[in-house]
Amino acid sequence: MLVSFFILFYFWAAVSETNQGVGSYTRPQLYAYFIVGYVIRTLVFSTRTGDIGGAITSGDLSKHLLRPLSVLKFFFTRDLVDKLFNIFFMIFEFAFILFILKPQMILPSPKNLFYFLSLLVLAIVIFFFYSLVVSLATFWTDQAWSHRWLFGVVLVNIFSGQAIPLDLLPTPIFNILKFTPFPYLYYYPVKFWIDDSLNASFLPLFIQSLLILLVLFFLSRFFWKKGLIKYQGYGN
Amino acid sequence: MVTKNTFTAWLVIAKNNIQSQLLTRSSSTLFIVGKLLQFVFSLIIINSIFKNTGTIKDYAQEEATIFVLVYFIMDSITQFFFRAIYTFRPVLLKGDYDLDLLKPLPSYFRPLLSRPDFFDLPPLIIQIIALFFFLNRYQILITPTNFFAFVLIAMNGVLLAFSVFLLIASFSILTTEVDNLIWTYRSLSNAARLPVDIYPRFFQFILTGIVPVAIIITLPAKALLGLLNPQVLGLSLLITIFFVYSSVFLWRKSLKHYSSASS
Amino acid sequence: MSKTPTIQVKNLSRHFSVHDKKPGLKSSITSLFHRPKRIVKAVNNVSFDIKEGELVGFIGPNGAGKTTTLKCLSGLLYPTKGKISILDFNPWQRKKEFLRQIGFVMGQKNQLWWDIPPQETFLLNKAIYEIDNKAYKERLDFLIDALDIKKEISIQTRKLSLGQRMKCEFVAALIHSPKIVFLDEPTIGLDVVMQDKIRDFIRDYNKEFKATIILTSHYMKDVQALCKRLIIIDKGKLYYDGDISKLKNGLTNKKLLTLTFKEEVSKDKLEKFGKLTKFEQLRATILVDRKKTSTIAAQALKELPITDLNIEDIPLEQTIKEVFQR
Repeated sequence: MLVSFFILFYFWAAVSETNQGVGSYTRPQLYAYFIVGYVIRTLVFSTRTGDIGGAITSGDLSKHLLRPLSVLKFFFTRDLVDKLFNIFFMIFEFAFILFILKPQMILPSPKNLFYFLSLLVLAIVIFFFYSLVVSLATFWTDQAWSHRWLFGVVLVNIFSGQAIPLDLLPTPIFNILKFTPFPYLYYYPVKFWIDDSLNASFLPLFIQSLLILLVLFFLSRFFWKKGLIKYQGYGN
Repeated sequence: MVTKNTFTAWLVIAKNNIQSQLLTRSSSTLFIVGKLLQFVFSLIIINSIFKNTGTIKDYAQEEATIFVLVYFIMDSITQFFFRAIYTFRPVLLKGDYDLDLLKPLPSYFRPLLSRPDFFDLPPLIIQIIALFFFLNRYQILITPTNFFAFVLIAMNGVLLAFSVFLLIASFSILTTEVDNLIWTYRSLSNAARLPVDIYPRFFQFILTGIVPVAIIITLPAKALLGLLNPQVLGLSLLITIFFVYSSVFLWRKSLKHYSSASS
Repeated sequence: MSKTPTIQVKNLSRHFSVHDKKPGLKSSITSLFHRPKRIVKAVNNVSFDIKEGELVGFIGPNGAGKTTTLKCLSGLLYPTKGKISILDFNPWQRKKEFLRQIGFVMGQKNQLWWDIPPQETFLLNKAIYEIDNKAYKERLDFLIDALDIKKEISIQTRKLSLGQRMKCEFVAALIHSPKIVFLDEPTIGLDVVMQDKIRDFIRDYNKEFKATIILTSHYMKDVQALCKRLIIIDKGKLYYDGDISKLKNGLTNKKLLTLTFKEEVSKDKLEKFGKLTKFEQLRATILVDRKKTSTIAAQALKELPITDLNIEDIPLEQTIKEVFQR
């Protein structure tokens, strides 16, 4: 994690050297984009919902089903606890990063900080249900790893904006991505940290995030119900 | 060190792997789609950056694109050959490696060569075609000398990757950590998709001397573009020799440790 | 044929150093600074020779050093002290010519590839050992026939039962016609029928190919049914090396007398004949001196209301149990 962060950071430091920026982004903005992004990556993308996929293929899911508590609530709570731990360790890593790089980094106004935090919380919940949906798809596929790798790792890494601010991509690609969950996981929250150009559209974006969350929430409920019927039908 | 029976054994295994990988059609499709997406998106990123900046340090878009292409080609080749390292730990833990050591095969066969991954081949072929496509499109003329140097240095890169993986295999015998090492290597090799001289000095040093992804990945691309200077080349060859020797040395040590630790 | 023994082991010792750690956080911390080391003598000064074509049983309780010895013999472990010579090779050098002549079956480990049918593993071994087509086919046909696994070899290994898999492990380990075969607990976990089949196979194989075989087992029956010669080790030391029948006589000079009565007999009356090992209402088993067996039997027939009388050797299993409990 830390290693891949440093690589991204140095990459963008090198890229932005000649013009002191890339496109509309200044260097301090870019640094903030990836450093704050590191926080987002540890908070949003740390989830153990993948275990459900594994449990489905191995048949261990039955063990979870026998316990007198909701399986999904169990996984959600566990993720939250994990994330709390992550915050604790992240403080040290974050201090380490700042100490090593001493970057010029842009800081948000209180208003933008609020925007950032509210989208971040939404992002965490969205990603939980997104990866839940991906894991639950295992009910219908034999090999669990390949679709989880493609949908849970590759697509998320590519399209959430972890590698490049999404508005630097060709406009058609960016416009399509707005209709997927991916930009709401990383790009939009961090965007509100580094500049206020989008402030006017905070509310629509917030609502859009909520809508995506709702869709994923109901989709996961639906998958879970249908999947369980299939799972129990086999008599595993 | 590689003898005839090692080679035929590898062929038998390769044949088996093709067969069983062809059976899992849906997951192989998803895997190959994922690989290609990563590849295409990487090219899009480079393209987008150059639209906004014009250059990255001293490199022009044409050169950077070739670097990215060669990165993917080298990555696919090493993944194809040495995929077995990812599954070596369970083999060790179960003790099944004992039975491999009793066979008249090189001891590194199981941890490195026993699982060629044919999912990496279709992406590799597409990447090679893309390389020729872009060379042609940018009208970069490749002299026979440069091409020859490219092939040789790429082979040197595969050898170097072999010794890096052999080091990882040794560590997995000596300690129990291995996953982290592999992922660190994979992350660092990401950095080498652009020529490492765009990075700060100490970072260059890490990528060349400690985890030599620069020599495995960047150097062949430089050779292809004719950007190689003799000093860098000489140093790289020295580093390769050093790595090969030290990995073999450590591997022997770890084998000895293995045989004295198990009961 | 050759007069020098196929396997020569001289004063073999193999020590391991282990770190002791007491449970608990405190000792975890102290062990960071000082880790008490302890030397375990897994094999301690063991010597024996084995001739070509012998089938030797190698037994002892758990942790006695059986597997360690086999691993030293096959070159997996470097001996701490002593000398091993197998077919004039030093196993530890792991020369190709040596490795081609040995086969190793471990009951708890597998060399078969999990996701593919066993016959693919056999083909892999064909390539590794460079067996030519004709020899391979003959050999495979023989093994398939002897082990009765015509169907199993083309089924994915993961789908085979333990017994079927074990048979296939045998094929994989013997396909290159090794002169020396190490069998480490080959029948472990198998049901009685399967144990019998494997036993028959080992016996026939030894006879047919004059292969030298060393067999370790938990099951006394394996050894009793197969081996003339027995090597017992305990706590790393050689305890016995010799004929299995001599062991029966040598270790105990007693026989078992089993009596069945018409009516109940009191305990006191029986105990004067010898040590009572089993006593039910109408049945008793008495341990008696080998030499005095016939006189005691005659006496018992005279004094007691006996309907049936049976004299037998003490089962080997029991003999050995007594040895290790001492």
